[in-house]
Formats: sequence, C-alpha cells, structure tokens
Amino acid sequence: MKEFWNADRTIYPAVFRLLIGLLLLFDLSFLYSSAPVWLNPEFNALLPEDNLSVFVASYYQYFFLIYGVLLLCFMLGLFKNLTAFLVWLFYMLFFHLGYQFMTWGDTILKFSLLYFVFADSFRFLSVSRTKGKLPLICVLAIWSVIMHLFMVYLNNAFFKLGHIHWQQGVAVYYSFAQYPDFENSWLYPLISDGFFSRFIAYFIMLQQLLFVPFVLWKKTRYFMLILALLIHLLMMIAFELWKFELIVILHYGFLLNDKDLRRLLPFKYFQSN
Amino acid sequence: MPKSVQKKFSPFAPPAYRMYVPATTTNYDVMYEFYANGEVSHKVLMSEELASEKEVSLLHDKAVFIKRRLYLESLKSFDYEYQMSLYQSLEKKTANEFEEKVRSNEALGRIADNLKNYVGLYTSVQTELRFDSVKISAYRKPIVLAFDTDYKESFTYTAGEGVFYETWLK
Repeated sequence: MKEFWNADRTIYPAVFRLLIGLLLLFDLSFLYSSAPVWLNPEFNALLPEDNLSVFVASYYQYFFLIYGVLLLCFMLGLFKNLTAFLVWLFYMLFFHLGYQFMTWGDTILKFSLLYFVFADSFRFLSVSRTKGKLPLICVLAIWSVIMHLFMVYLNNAFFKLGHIHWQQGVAVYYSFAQYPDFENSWLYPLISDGFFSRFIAYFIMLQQLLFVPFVLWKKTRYFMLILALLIHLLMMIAFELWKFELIVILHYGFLLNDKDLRRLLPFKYFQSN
Repeated sequence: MPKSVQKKFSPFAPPAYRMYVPATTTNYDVMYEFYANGEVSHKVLMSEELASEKEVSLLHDKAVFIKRRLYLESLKSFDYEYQMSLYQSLEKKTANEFEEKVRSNEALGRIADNLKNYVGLYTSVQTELRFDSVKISAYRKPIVLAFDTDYKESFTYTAGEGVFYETWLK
C-alpha cells in the first residue's frame, strides 16, 4: 500500500491532458451544432440571464472559436499552466451556460480541471517539456485529483447505502427505466429479472464501497480498475452518456503510477524522464 | 459563514455526489395538439419526436440529448413541486395550488415557458404547419417494476398517471 502514496506520477497527467483535451474538443463540436437551440433565449427559457451569459450567447461563435483554440494549445502543452487556467475558465463558463444538460461527469471534471491548473503535465507529450524535480504544488494538484475521485466513490456508496430504493434493490430498474425505449432494449430481459436486478444493485453498492481500499492495495488494484472500466463501458452503451463515462474512465489513469504505465505503454518515449 | 457568501463559492466546493440517489421513479412526456379553426390539425408527442430525430444519425445524439434535458427531463423538478403541492393539499384537505405555484415561482415559470418554446423550435422545422393555438399537456407516468408490479414505495404512485399540467399557446 505504501507504494501507492510514494510512487511518481508524471506520465499520466500528460496522457490525461491530451485525451481530455480531445474529448472536450469533440464535445465542443457537437455543442456548437446545438448552440442555436440552447443559446437562444427564444428556445431556451432556462438560459441564465446575467450580463455575461447574455453577452456570450449573443456572440457564441467567437467564444466557441477561442475555446477550441485554447483546447488545441492545451493538448499541445503550449503556454503550459496559463492555458490550463484559461481552459478551466472557459469550461466553467460553458458549464454555467449549459447547466441544464451537464452530467455528474462534468461536475467531476470541473474540479479536476481546477486542480490541473497547478499540475505539471508537461514532462511528456508537450511541445516544450519541463524537467527537474516536481514542485510540491504540482504533486499536491495530482493528489487532489485522486482524493477527489476517492471522495466521489465513497460519497456515492454512502448515499446509496442510506437510500430506500438501493436498500430494496430496485434502484437499478428505476435508473434504466427512465431511458427512452428501455422496454425494447437488449438489457430489458436482464434488468426486468428481479433477482438479477437486485443483485446488480447490491453489487454496485459493494463495488463503490470497496473501490478505495481495493485501489490502494496493489494486489486488487487492476481487478478493481478493470471492473470499474467494464461497468462504465456497459453504462456507456446502456445510457448513451458517453461523455460522463469517458470522463470517469480517464480519471482511473491517475491511480496508476509511472512504473505501471511504463509497463502498460512500453514505448521508448515514456521510458525516461 | 453568511449564506450569500456560501452560495457565491458553492460552485468551487466539491458537492456530495448522489448519482442516481434518489433514482427517478416517474417518466414524463408532453403532448402538443395544434388547433386550426377550432379543430385538432396536428399532434406531436415529444418523446416520439425526439426518438425520430435520433434515428437521423449518430451525430444527432448530442442535439437530442440537449433537447431531452431542456424540454423533457426538466419536468422532473416541475413534477417534484407538483407532488409537494398535491401532498400538502391531501394533508390539509385543500385544493391543489400547483398552477398558482407555477405562476408565482420563477424557476417553475421558466420550465413552463420552455414547454411553450418547444412549439417555436418544432415549427421552425415544420414550416408548412398552420395553426392558431396549441394545447400543451405534460404527462406523468410512475415507473412500474417489471418484477414487482405491486411495489409502491413512493408518493409518485399516489400522485398517479396522467396529465399533471396543461397550458395553451395562442
């Protein structure tokens, strides 16, 4: 367990920067095609009415363009932490404007991007790489992302344990049944089976409760990460919340250290600092 | 710490994550009936309309997701207030004042406005549609568990199935 706390984590922050930048850029292009609906007060009465929101909604094309350029710079590691800060600022702005359709994944990412402002993700996959000893604040930034992820799991398990629908094992059915066309999906026969549905509910609670200790213990770490990955991939297919699931999946990489990643990504590029 | 300060900084504090707690126990839909010369000329069920948009291509997924959240899933908080109001009326044996609540509460008023705004969005695509008024009916349907149809551990089953909010766009 000691190795989890002491190991170096310099590779994954770079991988995360690149992948989350790509995901946000991809999402931005979809958001842009829907902007005439959600940023139009004639179609969306839930749009915030503060001065900043009105201004951004009026000139949204420019804001999308700036955000897109910033995400490209972020992926390339240009202007380093300044770009990371501006990306977080724009993410918060878009979060504010589109709060009606933000998911839990967006909420988790809101904090990860904030911590990332202080991280050094430029040791790899960056146009200008940083070298030398990691400053304490950069180490703390990555630990904040990890601690936040742990908090998400523990909080979730805690609230599920105290909720009647989870205690009675019916929450999984309710969760699936809120999605359109559930009764015609291939999952319906499985989820509509009482035993299986209840089993899944209790299994999810147990998985969330055990996530932190199993990740901390080296012998169970890969098992838990693969299990969590499979659960989120299944949810991605069933609920079609691809952004939420990918955000959570991308966070799992922070739980692996440089040694683990050098074994998983045996490229010469990652083998030395 | 004063509440105003707490509110200002709340977006920067990690919240308590309660994903799917409480799980949704009700499904919603909205029926739009377009009237021309006093007769229904066209009907649209929002869920069916969104489903047909989704069939166009995978690229439409996000657009449909956003529309679902704006126009359909916002009915969750609308219905929550309806249930609260119904509960109070049953407890105090008075009339349900939900419609009055919609008129006086800004957040609920915005959801009601969005139900009307959808007409503008729909007709911006269906340009040939002629009408002089539209009747908008919001439906609620408590989810029935396939493996336990008698399970009713929620007030939503008392509130029942049917139209819980109706308005007109003239």
